[in-house]
Amino acid sequence: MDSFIATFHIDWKIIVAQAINFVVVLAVLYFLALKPLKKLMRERSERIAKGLDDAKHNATLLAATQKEYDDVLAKARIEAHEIFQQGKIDAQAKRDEMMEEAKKDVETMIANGKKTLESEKVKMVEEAKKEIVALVVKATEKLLEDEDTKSYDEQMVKRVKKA
Amino acid sequence: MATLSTKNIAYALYEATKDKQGKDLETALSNGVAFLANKHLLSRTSEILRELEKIIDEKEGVVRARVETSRKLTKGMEAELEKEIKERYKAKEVHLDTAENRTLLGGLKIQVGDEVIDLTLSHKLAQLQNHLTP
Repeated sequence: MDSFIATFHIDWKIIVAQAINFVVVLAVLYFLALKPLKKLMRERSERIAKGLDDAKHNATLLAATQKEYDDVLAKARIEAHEIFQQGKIDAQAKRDEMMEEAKKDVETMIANGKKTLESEKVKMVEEAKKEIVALVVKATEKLLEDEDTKSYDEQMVKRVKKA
Repeated sequence: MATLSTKNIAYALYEATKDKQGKDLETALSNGVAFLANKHLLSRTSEILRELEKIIDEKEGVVRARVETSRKLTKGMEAELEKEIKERYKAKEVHLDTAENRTLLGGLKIQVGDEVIDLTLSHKLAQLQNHLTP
């Protein structure tokens, strides 16, 4: 052991001093570098962990939002489809109603037209009849103007009592 | 005050002069005229006289008929007509007022008071025309 110490020129004092020196350096390093560094690392780790948590939370939130969005969209699609179908039904009903009304209007117009035509026809026939009768009466009057009505006058004189 | 109708005045005049002659008739007529003058009714004299004539005709059985014909009636036909009118109205006497109207075409139209007997051809034709074109 002594030979070893002699070979390597080990001086226990220097070694102790160096050990103390090392401890001091170590302490200085620990307090001035390692500790703040550890603190910094811990804080960074915490921040990263928090970031990861937040990311996870955000991912969950996003997934939920996406699901909600998909649900709302699906619901909206269904509602839109229902509204569209109801609209189609309503439009069809309205079209049928309008067609029915138009049909009725046309039927009424035709009936009125027929009535008007019929009344015009009757009126024309009546007017023609009136004109023919008036003409016949005028012609008869013309014929009678120059006729000798003595026998008729005599007959009428005899009818005065019974008239 | 009640208004005096023409008919009432005429009837009063008839009653006042009925069966009277000579002086009495003259007095009754004078009183009648004085009454009309007093009541300011002289402007209605012609109407009153017409009513009086009607009353006298009615009382005495006289019928006045206005006869319209297309041609003048013969004497024989006039006599026949008088007879018919007498029988119809149970009259003692008939006064005919005849007139010609070529538009009647034939037959005769008689007016006695408010009654009109239309036996003319023009009337028959008008009836026929009305019947054919109601």
